[in-house]
Amino acid sequence: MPPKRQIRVGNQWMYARDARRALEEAIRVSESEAKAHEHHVPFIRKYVFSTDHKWIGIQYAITALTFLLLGFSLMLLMRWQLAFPGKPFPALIAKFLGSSNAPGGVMLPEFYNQLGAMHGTIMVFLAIVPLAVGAFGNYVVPLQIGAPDMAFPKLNMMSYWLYLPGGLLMMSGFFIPGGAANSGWTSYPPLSIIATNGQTIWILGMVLLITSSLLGSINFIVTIFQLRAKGLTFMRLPFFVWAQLITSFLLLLAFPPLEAAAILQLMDRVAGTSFFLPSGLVISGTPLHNAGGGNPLLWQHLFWFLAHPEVYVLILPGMGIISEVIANNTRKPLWGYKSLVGAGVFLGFMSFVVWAHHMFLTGMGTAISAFFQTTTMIISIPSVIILTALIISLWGASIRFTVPMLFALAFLPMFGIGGLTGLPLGLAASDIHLHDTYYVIGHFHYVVAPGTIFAMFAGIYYWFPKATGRQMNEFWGKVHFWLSLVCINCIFMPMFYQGLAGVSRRLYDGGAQYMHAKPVIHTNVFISSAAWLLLVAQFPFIINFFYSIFKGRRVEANHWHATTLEWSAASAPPLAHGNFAVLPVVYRGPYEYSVPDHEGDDYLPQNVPEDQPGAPVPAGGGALHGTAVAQKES
Amino acid sequence: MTTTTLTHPVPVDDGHGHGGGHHEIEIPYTLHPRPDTGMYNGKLGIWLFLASEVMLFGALFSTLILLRTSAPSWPHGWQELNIPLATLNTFILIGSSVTVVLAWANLRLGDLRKGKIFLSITLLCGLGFMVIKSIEYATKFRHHHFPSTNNFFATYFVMTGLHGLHVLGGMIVFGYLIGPGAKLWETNRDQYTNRVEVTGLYWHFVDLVWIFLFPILYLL
Amino acid sequence: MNEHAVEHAIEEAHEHFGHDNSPEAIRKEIRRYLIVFAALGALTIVTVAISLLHLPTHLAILLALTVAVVKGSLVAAFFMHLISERKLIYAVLLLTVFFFGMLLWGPWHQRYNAQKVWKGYDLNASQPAPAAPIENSGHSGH
Repeated sequence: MPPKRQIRVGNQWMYARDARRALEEAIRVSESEAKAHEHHVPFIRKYVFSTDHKWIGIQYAITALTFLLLGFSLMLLMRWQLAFPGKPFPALIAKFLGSSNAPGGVMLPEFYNQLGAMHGTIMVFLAIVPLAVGAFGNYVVPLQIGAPDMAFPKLNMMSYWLYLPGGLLMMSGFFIPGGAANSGWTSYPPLSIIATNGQTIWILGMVLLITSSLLGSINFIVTIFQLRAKGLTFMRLPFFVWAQLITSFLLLLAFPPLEAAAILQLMDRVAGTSFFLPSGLVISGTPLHNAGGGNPLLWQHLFWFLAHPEVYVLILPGMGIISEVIANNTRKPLWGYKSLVGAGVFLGFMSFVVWAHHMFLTGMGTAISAFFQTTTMIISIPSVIILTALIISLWGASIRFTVPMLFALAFLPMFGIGGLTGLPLGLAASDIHLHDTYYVIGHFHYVVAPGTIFAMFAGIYYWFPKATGRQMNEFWGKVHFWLSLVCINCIFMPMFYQGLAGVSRRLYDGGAQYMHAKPVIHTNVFISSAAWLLLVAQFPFIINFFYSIFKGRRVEANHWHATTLEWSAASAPPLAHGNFAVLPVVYRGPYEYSVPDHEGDDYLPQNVPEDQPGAPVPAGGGALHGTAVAQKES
Repeated sequence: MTTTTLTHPVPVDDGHGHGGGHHEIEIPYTLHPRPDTGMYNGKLGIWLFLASEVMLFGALFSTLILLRTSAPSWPHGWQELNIPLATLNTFILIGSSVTVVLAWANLRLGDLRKGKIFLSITLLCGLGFMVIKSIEYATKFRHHHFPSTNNFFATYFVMTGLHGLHVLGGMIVFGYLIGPGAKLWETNRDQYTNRVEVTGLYWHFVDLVWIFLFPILYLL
Repeated sequence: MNEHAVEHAIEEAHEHFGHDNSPEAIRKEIRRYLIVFAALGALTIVTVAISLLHLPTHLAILLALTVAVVKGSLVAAFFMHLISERKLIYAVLLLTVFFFGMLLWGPWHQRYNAQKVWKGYDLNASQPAPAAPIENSGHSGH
C-alpha cells in the first residue's frame, strides 16, 4: 500500500507540496547553472535582431505602446478642433504643428482629415493588434504551452522587423507634401484614389504590416499545434492560448484579401487602372480620364472582409487575458471553460460571414442585407456566452482586488455596453438612422478602449512580474485605473447621446453647421476635457511602468499563485536561453484553484503531479529535476 | 522516435555548435513529425501559408468575377491574348512541378546530385516561364495595351503579374537550395530534404494558381 | 555508405517523414508522378481545344472550370501528396475553401447593382462616358 496522500516521484514517496517545493528548488538551481553557463550573445542579436520570443514580445510591447500614445495624441488634437471649432491652439502646440497644418494656430480641414485617418490606422493596425497579438501572444503563448520558443524564431524576428518599418513608413506620410493619408482608416474609393500621395504611403505601409501579421499568425498556429508540452491537450489549454489560436486563424485568412485590395488600390493610384473607379466620375467639375467600369463597393467588400474579423482580432486576445486574470483572482476555475472555448471558435468562424453589415447603406440590396443582418444577430450569441461565463465565474468567489483584477472587472460591463450598443447597428432598419454618426464611434470605442485596452492594461499589470521579476506599484496602479475608468466613460457615453441626435462623425467642426446638432454639440467641450484628463491619467501608468522595471518590488517567481505553465518558469527568464529548466509535463486543466480536499495551497499548477494517493505516476516520471525524463524528439 | 533523458537542463544544452558562438535553442519537431498532428513544423507552416495565398488570389478572382459579370461588354481572352504562348507556359509550369517532386524523390533516395539536377531544371523552367511572360507583356505594351486600357487588361496584368512575382520568389528559393543552401545536406540531410519538400509544396501551389488563371484569363 | 546502412537510414526516414521511403516505393511514386504529368498535359490540350470551339459562354465556363478543377485536384492530390496527408490539413483547407466561397459570393452579389448603375457603358470606349452628375458615381443610394 502506498503511503496516504503521497505521490511517487522517482523511487520515493512524498507529499505533493514537498514535491512541488523540490521541483521549484531544482529549477532555481538549474537557473543559476544556466546563468553561470551563459554565453555572450552580441548586443545586436540579443536586443535588436533577437530571435527570442520573450524579447520580441517586449519589443512589440514597447513599440505598440508608443504607437498607442501617438494615436491617442492625434485624437487629442482633433478634440481641440471639435470642442472649439476655429479657435487657435495654444501657442506651443500651434508652433509644433507648423503653419502648413495650422496657419495662425487654427487646424486646417485637410489636416483634421489626416489626423482622423491616421488615428484609426495607428490604433487598429499599429497599436492594439501588435500589442494584443505581437506582444502578449509572443511573450505569453510559448511560456503557457511549455515550449522553448516559437516554432520559427527567425520568422518571428522578421515579423517584428516588418511591423516597425511598416509603422514608420506610415508615419513618414506626415512629412511629405499633402500630408499623411486622409481618406479615413477605411480608405474608401473613389476618394482614396484621388487623394494626395500620403495614401500611397499608407498602402505601402499596409502591405508591410499585412506581411508581418501573416508571418506572425502562421508562427502562432504552428507553435500552438506543434510545441504544446507533453500532456497539454487542447482542452487543457489556458483560454488565452485558445484566444490567440483563433485570432491567428482570423489574421491568416482575413488579411490576404485586404492585401489584394491594397494592391488593386495601388494600381488604381499609380497605374491608372479602374478597379474601384466607376465610369463618368467627375472631380471638382472635371471629368476623370480613366477607363471606368470599376466598382467602389468592391473595395468595401474586400476591406470589410478583413476589417470585421479584425474587430474580433482586437477583442479575442483581450477576452483571453481577462479570463486568465479572473480565474487567478477569483481563485476558482473559470465557469464553463468548454462553452468558452466553443463560443470562441464559433465567434471566430462567424466573424467571416458578417462583414457586409458595415455596408447596409450602400444600397447593396435587401436580400443580401437580410443575410448579413441574420448572421450579425447570430454572432452576438457567442459573445454573450463568453461574457456570461466570465461574469458567472465571479459568483461566490472571494475576489482579490488586485490592479489587474480591477481592470478585468471593469472590462466586463464596458465590453457589455460596447457589445449591446452594437445590436441596433447590426439591424439594417435602425442602422439607417445611426450609420456614420457619433453613436458608432461610441459603440466601437466602448469595445476597443475600455474593453480591449483595459484588458491590455490588465495583462501588463498581471504579467509584469513575469517579465521583470518585479511588481508594479499597486497604489499608482489603482489611481491609473480609477481615473481612466471615469474619464473614458465621460468621453464615450455622451457620444451615444450625440449620435442618437444624428450628429455625423468625420465633421471638421463637430456638427456646428447643422441645425439638428445644435442641442447636443455643447457636450463636445465636456468630452474633450475628459479626453485631455485621460492623458493626465496615463502619467501614473507610464512613470510606474518605467520606475518598476528598475525599482519595483521584487517578487517570487509565481507571484500571483497561478496555475498555468508560464509561472513555473523563472521570473524574467533569461533571454536567448530557452524558457524552462526542464520541459514541463502537464497533468491537468489550466484553472485548478481551490480544489476540494486538496491540502496546503489553494492552487494546483498544471505541471505538478497528481496528489491522489496511489495514483500512477504518468509516463515521463516525476517532474523532479535530475530524475526527470522528458519525452523529446531529437 | 527517440527518448532522450534530460539529465541537463535545456538552456545549457550546447550540443549544437552553430557559428559565431551563438547559442541556438532546440525547437521540437523541426525535423520529424509530431505524432498527433503527423507533421513537422515547416510543413504545417507552409500549408497555412498556402491557405492564406488561396485567400489572396481569391480576392483577385472575386474582383475579376464581379467586374466581368457587371460589365456590359468584356472581350474574350482568346481575342486579346496569345494562347499558344500561354499553352507553352502551362506545359513549362506543369513540367517544373514534376521535376521538383522528382528532385524530392531523389533526395529521399539519398542522391544529392540527381536532386540538384532536377532542382536546376525546375529553376530553368521558372526562368523560361518568366521569359515567355515578358515577351507576352512586351507585345501587349507594343500594341498599347496597358493596365489602364480597360478592366480586362487591368485584371490580366495584375493577376499574371502577382503570379509572376510568386514564380520569381520560388526561383530565388530554388537558387538558394541549389547553391549555398545545399551545404546543409552535409550536416543535416533530413532538414535539406524537408526544405525541398516545403518549397515544392509552394511551387505546386504556384502551378495550381496558373492552372486556374490560364483558362479563366486566356480561354474564356 | 554501404547497403546495410542505406537500408537502415531508409527505414528510419520512413518513420520520421510519414512517407514510405523504401526505394521501391519511391520508384513507384516517380512512375505515378510521370503518369500525372501526362494526364495534366493531355488535359491542357483538351481545355485549349474546347476553347477553340467558341462554345456559348455558360457551357465554355462550365467545361473550362471542370477541366481546371480536375487538373488542380491532380496537382494537389499527387504532387502535393494531399491524398496521404493528415486530417489537420484537410480541416484548414476546408475552412479556407469555405471562406474563399464567401469571398467570391459577397462581392459577386453586387453585379446587379453595378449593371443598373452603368447601363449603356461601353468597356472599349476610349473616352469616358459623358460627364454625369457626381452623385451618380456609383454609390447607388437611390
